[in-house]
Formats: sequence, structure tokens, C-alpha cells
Amino acid sequence: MPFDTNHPIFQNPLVRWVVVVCVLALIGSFVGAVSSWIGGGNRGLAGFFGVVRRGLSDLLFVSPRRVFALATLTARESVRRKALWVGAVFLVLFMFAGWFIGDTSDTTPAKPYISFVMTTIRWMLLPVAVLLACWGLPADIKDRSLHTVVTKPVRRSEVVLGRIGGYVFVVSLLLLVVGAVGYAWVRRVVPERSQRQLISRVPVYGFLRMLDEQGEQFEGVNVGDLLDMRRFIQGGTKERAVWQFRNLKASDFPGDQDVRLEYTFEAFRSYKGDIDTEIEFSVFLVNPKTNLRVPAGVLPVNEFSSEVVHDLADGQTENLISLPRSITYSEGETTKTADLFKDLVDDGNLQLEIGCLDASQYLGVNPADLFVRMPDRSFAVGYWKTIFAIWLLLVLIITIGTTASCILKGPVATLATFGLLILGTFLKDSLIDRLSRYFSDGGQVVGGGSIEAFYRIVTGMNESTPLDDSITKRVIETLDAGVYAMLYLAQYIIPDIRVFDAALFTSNGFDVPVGSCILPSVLITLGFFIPAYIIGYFGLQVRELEAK
Amino acid sequence: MNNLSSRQRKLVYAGGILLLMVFVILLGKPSEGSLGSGGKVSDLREDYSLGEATLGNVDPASSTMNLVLLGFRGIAASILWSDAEHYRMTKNWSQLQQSADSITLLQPHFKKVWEYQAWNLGFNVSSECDAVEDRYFWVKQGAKYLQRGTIRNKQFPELFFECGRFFGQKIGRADEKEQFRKYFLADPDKTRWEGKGDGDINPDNEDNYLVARSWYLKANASLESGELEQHKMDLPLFMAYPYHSLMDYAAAREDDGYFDEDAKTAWANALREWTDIFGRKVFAAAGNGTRFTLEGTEAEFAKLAQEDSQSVADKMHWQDRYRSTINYNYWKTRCQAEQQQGMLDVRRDFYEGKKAFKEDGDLERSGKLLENGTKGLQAVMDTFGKNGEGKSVLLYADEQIAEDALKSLLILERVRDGLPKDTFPLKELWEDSYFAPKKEELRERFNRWAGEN
Repeated sequence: MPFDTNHPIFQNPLVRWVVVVCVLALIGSFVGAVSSWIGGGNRGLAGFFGVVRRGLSDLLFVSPRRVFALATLTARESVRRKALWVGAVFLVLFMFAGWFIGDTSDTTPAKPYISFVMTTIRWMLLPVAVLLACWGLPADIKDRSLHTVVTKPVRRSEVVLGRIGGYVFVVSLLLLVVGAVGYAWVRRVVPERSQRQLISRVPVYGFLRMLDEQGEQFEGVNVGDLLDMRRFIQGGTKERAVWQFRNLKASDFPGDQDVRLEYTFEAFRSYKGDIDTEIEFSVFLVNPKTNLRVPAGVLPVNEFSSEVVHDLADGQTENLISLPRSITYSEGETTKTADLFKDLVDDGNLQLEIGCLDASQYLGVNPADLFVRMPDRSFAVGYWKTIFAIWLLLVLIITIGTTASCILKGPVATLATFGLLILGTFLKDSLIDRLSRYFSDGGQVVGGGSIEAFYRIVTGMNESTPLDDSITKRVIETLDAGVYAMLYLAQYIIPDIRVFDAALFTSNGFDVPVGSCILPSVLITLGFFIPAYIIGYFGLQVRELEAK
Repeated sequence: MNNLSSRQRKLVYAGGILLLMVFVILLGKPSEGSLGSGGKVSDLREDYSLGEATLGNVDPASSTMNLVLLGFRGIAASILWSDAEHYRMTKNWSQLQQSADSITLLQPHFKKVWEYQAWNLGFNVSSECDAVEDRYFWVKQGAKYLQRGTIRNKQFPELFFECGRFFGQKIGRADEKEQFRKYFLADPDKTRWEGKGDGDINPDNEDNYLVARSWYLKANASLESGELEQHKMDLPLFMAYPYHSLMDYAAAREDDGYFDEDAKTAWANALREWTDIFGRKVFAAAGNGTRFTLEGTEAEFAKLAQEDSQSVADKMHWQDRYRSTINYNYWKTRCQAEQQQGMLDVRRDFYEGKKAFKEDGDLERSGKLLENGTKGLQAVMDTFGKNGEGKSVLLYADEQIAEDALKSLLILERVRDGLPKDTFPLKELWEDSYFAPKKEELRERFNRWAGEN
């Protein structure tokens, strides 16, 4: 193992970011210094330090006015290059969207419509952002129109910022328009009965533990589901799924609103039973301090009912446990009343016990299967947050593209940016998985690294047969360790594009969470913007602008 | 170089383009559907069945997708397949359906896609839901998916056949058949279908077996058009399905408790079609291609033998073999028996007797009805006579009747605390060693069934 990646210091994202940026800066400085020294000896080295010194002042002292002027120029140029035409293509796509949605009837849920809009916006604008950012600067260098800019009293850092700003402005304008059209389209075409799915639910998740018949914590039963997403409790027994929700306050539910909990449990029948009646479960509210147990009803499991648009009365919602502020219940012969927030919620903690009622049938649960549903927000809130996440992604791509175009020619910059985009979207998961297996298993992964894999292909050896203990094996493992170490660093240069995908929340009727989606997206964008800006500046500074 | 000005040259180019367009239109004009309505290339395409339109309706979205993807259709289809599998694993059913729809946009004429994904939706997804209404919804989605497949591919008999199987077997024979058959005529989605069946799959609000029959008939018609063969089963077995559906319809009506004139007519129609239409179809034996029919007089066979230069005995040999393969005689005898008023009364008595036992708990009435039924069945059996071994022709030809009779005798045995020692109707069936294993199996099932009471 080349170095200890499990050291606590590496677990802090900010530290990791600083380390990666510093390592990149050191590599850049070293390569710059050495190549200057080889090219010009001591004078070259002095020139290199001069560039770094000037660079620091150029990077820090930028004039917002000049950046704004350059951004305006860039935006005008992009409009002249017909970048806005993509909007027209988008409109045409929407005119024929019904073709691609498949079976569109009034039982079609809202999900596919929202997914279609979000996917279309994302994959229509990303290529535009890449092409604009990667081809603008090289084209200007080729036309020599950049001369008119750099011969003015303008810092190169301002050129980079102006470029990024200009492209971001154009793409933002496009995104705003297509976002508005998409929103109107969703509102119009989603079938009437699915319109109620156009909401932004705000969930508060709890902690789940499962209790066996003796009341001891256990893992739950595996019913043989390949996915093993849910664990099951047996019906007609004392097995229970217990959720605890924290930090609940009466003031979060204004106007004495009921506290609503939404569930998505799964049923597993070990025998057919009465097929006309659904598997049912009981709900108990428990205050562990006072040992108060209040029954909150018996409900059908309604398995996967959200996947089908049901016929519901106005205002009715499926899979909802509604808890009034004052709960009346029977205990033996007597009728009692309990106040939800005074008697049952203890110091903000609410505990619910779920038990399956049907003997020998099973109820499947997962921590996210039951959540407190705070007052809903409008669909527009979730929708525009998703658009904002797409905007952040576009900013990131423009930043990377512009930086690449400061150093590389148009086609190469495009390939590099697209490459990062594809790697970040589709391959980062498997890369992280491979790396974690390598580093957690002491460098042993099935099939080895790339060198070992190549060796196995050439020699026709399968991936599970161990290599002979020879010098060849040691050379291969040493080389692979180097490759893995490089990949370990490279994983931080590849942005995690999936974090920006907020469409999953919106299409499933949830609000986009700031903590787990928007904030990480902002931080990733910023995290790439700062080094990209520095690299772009130095790239443009040392670039021969006369070259075609 | 010439002396033409720029404008003149452009006009010449435009003229040239127009002239070429005339030829292009004459040659390549697309067909409007009727023969000869297109250009020369279109006519040739129709003559040789090379155009997409000859395979079924052309979906503009599908064509656009294939055009836009250039040569990446295969990659896109593979990604969609992998998505569909992911959604199935993660139980994301609506997304699975969308992926399945998208795959058919890319691979509209790939038969297995339609069959596989329809099965996925109608059988696998359906069985995941706990509410019967939800299960029925997914069965419908599967059936609708397959129906779209038949519109796009009119040349595959198997797709029409699978549609028939959805409506016949999935709706009519599933564990939830009682509910499914009801929903087929009165959809749970009352708002949309206003108390009738789903108009997309049952536009005429017919029984599921009659709808299945019309799909099986389409499958037969597609097969008889000679475009493509089917590769599911032996031809006579495949072609028997529409006629079986009529029998299933008649039997299902009785299971539902309808013992009116319609029930008799249904059995009579089933017999007529079984013998007069299906029985008269000329099949070729697998292997040597000997032509034969399942019905027919000796004179007709002699004529057929003469045409084919074969012996009558050869024809009869193949007829016997195929009659046995498809249980031809069994179904014929059953139709003949079931259409009799006496048999209809037996069915009614068995049905009501079972209901009185299971649902009403009225053992006295149940006993009377079942005694009446067994007497009636004995009388019907007597009209069919005995075979060479002295056994009832009807019971040995139709094991379903024998099974139903045994079930009734088991209830009767429970109701009357045992059957009479000396004599009682259907005693030969009750004591026949041939039916003893069946009796024991049914007794076990009966004990479970009655225990749930």
C-alpha cells in the first residue's frame, strides 16, 4: 500500500481539497521551474519567479468593471455564434415530447414527465456549455481578435474571468428560458389525476431499529430479495420496527396541524392467504420515559401504490399516518386522551412502533420508508432548485472548459472536458469502488490493476488464478501500486457529477435538500473554480497568442 | 468558365435541383398505404416486403430516434436494457415501464423485446404488489404493451398469441382470477372507465375469454397468411387455442354461477367450432408432411388420400396421433355432455351445494343439492353408455367431470357423515381404483379448504 489513505486527516473533505490543490500547485511549480531553467538557465528561473509574482497580483487584484466588460463582449460574441439557437431546438423537442414518453394515459404518473424535462435540459445545455467554453478562446486566438483585448490594459486573469462570466451569462439565459418552458410544459401535460404528484414534500427522516420477539435488537429477516433493500418483521408476533424522530417541535406544524407521516413499506407473503385483503400493520406511539403506549391505527401496506395513479377523493393522500394533536384511544373499557406533543413527544423525540398484523406474513422496512412529512412546499420550489443544481453544473463545466481552452486547442479542450464530464457521470462510482477495494484489502483486488490485467490478457490467464510468486509478479504489483496511487489522486480531479442530479428528488415529489444536494454542488463548483481559475490564468499567460 | 452571372448561375442550379427533385419524387415517393400509391422504389419495397411499413405501423418517434442516434442504436438499446434491469431490481416500476417503452422505440421489430418486457410488467411486476387492484393494473400494462407490439409487428403470429394468453390465461387462471375477471368487465378505475372494462384492452366489454379468442384468431390469421411461421408448439396445438377459449368461456360462466340458456349455447358453439371449423382444418403431419383433418368421413379421407397418393390407413394413423396429442376426443365429448340440459342442472346443483356448504353453512340444503346433482350426473353418464371394459365412457373421456363429481362426493361424505354403504349414484366412480389417487389428492385439498371455513 503506497500511503495510508485511511488516516483521519484524509477524511475531512476540506483537507483533501487543500492537499490536492497543493500537490497540483507543487507539481505545476516544479515543472515550470525546471523547464524554465532548462530553457534559459538562471535567467529563465528568474523569469519563472517573475511570472509567479506577477501572477499572484494578477489573480488577486482584478477589476470588476473590466471583467464585466469582457463578459459582455464574450456574451455578445456567443450570441453572434448562434448559441441561443439551442433554445429553438429545445422547443421543437418539447413539441414532440409525447412521442418519447411512451404510454401516456391519464394513469401515467408525473415522474416520467419531470424526468424527461430535466434530462432534456441537462443534456441539451451541457454540450452547448462545453462547446462555447472550449472553442471561444481558441477561435479568438486563431482569428487574432484576442489581440485587440490583450493589447488593452487588461490582466489575463480578467480575460479568464470575463470569459467564464460571459459564457455563464449566456447559458444562464438559456437555462432560464428552457426552465420556464419546461415548467409550463410539465404543468400542462401531466395528466389531471397525476397533478397531485406535482409537489415538493419535505421529509424528516428518523432512526430505525428492529426488535425481535424478546424485544432485543436484531437485523430483521431476509426474505431472499436480491436487492436486500429492506429487512422484514414477521406478522402476528412481537417483532417490531421502531422509528425514532428527533427535534420535532409543535411550532413546526402551525395552526395545530396534524403531524403526518408517510410510509412506503413492502409486503412479503409466505402463503397466499386472503388475496382480497391487503397485509396490514399496526402503529403505536410510545413514550419510553413514561411507558405510555398509544395505538395510532391499523393501516394497509399499499405496496408500491405510488407507482400507480389511484382514484382518490380530493385532498386525500395515500400511505399517510395522520396524528392529531389530541389522540383518543381505548384501554380496556376506558377511553383516554393523550396530547401528542405533551404526552408522547419527549424532548423533541417521537417514537413509533410498527408491527405486522397478519400471522406468518412479513412486512419489509427500510429507514427511509417512514418519514415525518412537514408542510409541503410548492412544486415550483423543488423544480427551480433542480434548475439551480443544473446551473451549478453548467458553471462547473464552463469553468473547466474555459481553463482547458486557455491551454489546449479547441478539439483537445472539448475532448478533455467531455471526458471529465463522462468520467464524473458514469465512471466515478466504479473507480471509487475499485480504489476502496484496493486500499481496504491490502492491495489485493480480483484481477489486479491495469498492468496485471494486461498481463493476464496476454497470457490468457483468468482473473481468479493467483500469479506465480516470481520477480514478474513483484514488478507488476509495484507498477500497479503506482497506477493505483495516481488513480487515487485522479479521483479528486474528476468532479462527482451525480451530486448535481437533483431531478431524482423532484420527479419523486420531494423538495431538493440543501444539505445533501445543493450545498455539496456549490462546494464542488467552488472547489474546482478556484484551481481552474489559477491554472487558466497561467495557461493563458504563457500561451503563445500568435500561434494559430 | 462561362459568361453567366452569379444570379444566372444560381437560377441554373435551382432549375437543376427542381429537375432532380422531380425524378427523386417519382422514384422515391413514400406509399400512402395502398398498393401503387408510392413511387417506384416504394412499389418495389412493397413487392419484396422490404419496407418497414410492411412489418406493421411505422412509429414516427421510433424512426426519429433511430435517425438521430446515427449508428449508436445498439449502444443506446443496451444502456436502456441495463436501466430496465436496474429499475426492476430496485422495484422502480414506472421507470421500468418507461425504459421498456424506450427500448421498443429503438428495437420496434425485435419480437423478444415485446414478449419479455410485457411478461415483466404483466407477471413479475404485477405479482410484487399486494393489492389485487394494483396487480390488475400491471397485468393491463403488460397486455397493453404487447398490444402495441402487435400494431408494430403484424407479421409475428406469436405476439397475437401472447396477447390471447394474457387475456385468457393470466386473467382467467391466475390466483386472482375471480377478481381479475370481474375487473375485466368493471375496471377498478371507475372514474376513467365509468364502471366498464378498460376500453384500451376490452373495447366491447366482453368476457376475457372471448377477447382472448379474438386474439388467438388473429394469431391464426397471421399464421395462415403465410408470412412467418410460429415456433411455439406443434401447429394443431397452436391453432386450437381460439376454440379452447370458447370452452373456457362456457366453463367460466358456470364457475361464475350462470346456468342459463347462454351457458348451453356457449357449449354448443364450442362444439360446433371445435368439430366444424377446427376439425375441418387441413394439417400436415410433422416429419413427413402427411395431410389430414381431425374430423371427416372415410369418403373425405379417401379423397384426400387419392389427391396425395397415400393410403387412407396412413391418413387415419396421423389423425389418431394428433387427436391424442391435442385431446381432441376429450374436448369433443365434454362439449357434447355440457350442452345437455341435464348436465347444466348437475352443474347448478354442484355449484349451489358447494356454496351452501362453504358460504352459508346450510348442510342440509347442501346435502340435498349434491345428492340431486350426483343423481343427475349418473343419468347423463348413462346416456353416454359404457366402453368395452364396462366403464363409463363419459368419465373416462372427461376427467374434469370426474374430478368435479369427486369433489361433490367428498362434500357429500362430510355433510352426511359418510356415504351410504350399499348403493348411491356415482358409486362406480367413488370405488374405481383408477381414480383412487385423484380421490386422495382431492381429499387432502378438500380438508384444507373445508378447514378454512
